[in-house]
Amino acid sequence: MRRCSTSRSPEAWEEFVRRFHRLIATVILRTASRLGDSSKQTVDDLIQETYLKLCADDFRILRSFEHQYPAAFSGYVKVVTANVVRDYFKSTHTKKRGAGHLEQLEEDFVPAAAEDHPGSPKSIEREILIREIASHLRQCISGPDQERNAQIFWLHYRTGLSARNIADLPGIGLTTKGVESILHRITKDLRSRMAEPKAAVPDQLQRGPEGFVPA
Amino acid sequence: MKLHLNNQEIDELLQSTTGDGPVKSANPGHLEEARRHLKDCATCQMLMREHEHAIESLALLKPTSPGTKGPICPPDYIWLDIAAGILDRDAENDLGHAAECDHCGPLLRQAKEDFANELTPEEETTIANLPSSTIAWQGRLAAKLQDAQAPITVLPSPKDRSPSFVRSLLAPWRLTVAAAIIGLILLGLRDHRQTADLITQNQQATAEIQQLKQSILQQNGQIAQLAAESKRSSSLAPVPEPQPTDHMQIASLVLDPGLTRGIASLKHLTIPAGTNFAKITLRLPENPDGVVREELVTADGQKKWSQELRPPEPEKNTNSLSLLLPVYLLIPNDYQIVLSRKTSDGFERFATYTFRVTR
Repeated sequence: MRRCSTSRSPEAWEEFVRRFHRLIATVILRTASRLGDSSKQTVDDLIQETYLKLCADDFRILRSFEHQYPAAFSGYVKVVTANVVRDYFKSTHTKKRGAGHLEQLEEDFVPAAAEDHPGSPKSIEREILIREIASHLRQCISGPDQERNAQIFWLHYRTGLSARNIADLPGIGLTTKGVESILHRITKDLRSRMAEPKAAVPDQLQRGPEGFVPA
Repeated sequence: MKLHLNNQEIDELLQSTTGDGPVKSANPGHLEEARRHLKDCATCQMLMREHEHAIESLALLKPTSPGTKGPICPPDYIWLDIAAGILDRDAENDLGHAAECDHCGPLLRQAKEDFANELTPEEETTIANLPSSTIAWQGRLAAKLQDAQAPITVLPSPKDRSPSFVRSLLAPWRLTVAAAIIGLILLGLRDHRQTADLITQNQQATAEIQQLKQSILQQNGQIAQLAAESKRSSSLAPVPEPQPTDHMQIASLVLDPGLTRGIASLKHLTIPAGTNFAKITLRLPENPDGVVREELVTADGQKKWSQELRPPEPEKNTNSLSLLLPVYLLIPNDYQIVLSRKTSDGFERFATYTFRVTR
């Protein structure tokens, strides 16, 4: 950035474009695919748009951010990129909506309730399951890190984040292995607790810690 | 002789079939023995089924569709910042919320997926085949970006600067003087608009330095005065009068006028815990005469606060206007401050400022 700012060297600018291309293209490709148009033309237009935004006003935005959070610089580029894509699709959607396209509903149309909308049997069942698991979970975790460990559990099972993604989150303070280990320990304990009440094993058949025991 | 499986053995059996969690190096002979036992023992088969049922239940915790946004959900953009590792303050609280919210959790997961550094083979191929991946395309864009920038060659190169010159730059008052000189030099080089901006910045910097030198008592005086003005002229939601204390914490932000879109050009006001007030300095596009109305509006158009006042002379001289707002008005969201001047027909808008509040 400094080289681009202070020198008129075309190589500095080419290096800047080359260095961020993969990162910007990846975020645009994924976000645009999810939002419905990841054609080469759209992706390339959005890549160009992102660079123009990042370089505007002599990199004012990036330079002020770099000064504040030097470690999260590439993270910030990702956020800017994602917002460029979202803004683009938002404006495209608005234009489409305002283009006089109208859909007529049938007179007897009754909107179907989603299978898992709040209040549906499926949603209620899930709510009960969450409470049941939360109650078991409270017994599985203890100690100073119990809040963090519970958070890790829910982020994995409810939010669907992988151990690696959880470890990357700010404030977790663990490696991927650390998160995996916590998840494994909690899951094992929780599973045993969930299985226990229903599997009423007679007293004489209780298992010992050493594994196989004579009846 | 009756044998039953313990939890460790069940765990090992499940791992060997489902691959759930890190596989421990179980003794193959022992595992085989456990498998044989399971085949013949109805009690252990039932226990195993319960464990499998528990695994299935855990899989049902994921929502099948995103939930609706609730009143305590933070703004959606927060999840992009968290996924990118930018937010370090309050991230713990936000993560705790995401872990239990069917609206915010999927947004966080989506952002993490979009921001993942690893590419799938398909993504690698797609990106490699983009026209923008060619050297020619990148060269054209680089030239375009270069042309879009104005050259800045004001200071001498580092090797030409003497140590005493560098040291002298470190003194704050000299920085201000240097900035003023730079502003004057640029006066001859730049177009009128850029020069005007720099002068405004210099004046603003001078005003900021003076304000920092003021004692806590002087700040309290200002707060009390502003609060009294606010109480007199507030036409919308009345706010409790702020009480100055000896330990007042103030977050500050300087804003330029303009309706900006997108996170890249949006100014952020980060309010640390324990902050009582936010001081927002607005750079004025023009010097209004007479009464000015200040309105704080949320992104969805809800008016949070307003007041009418005649800008004090010292502020008018620096082409700026300062607001002191109690931070409880500023929950995380996007805001606009709208300035209007009083005319014979009512109030006429003359400047809008956009910013984002994070905690």
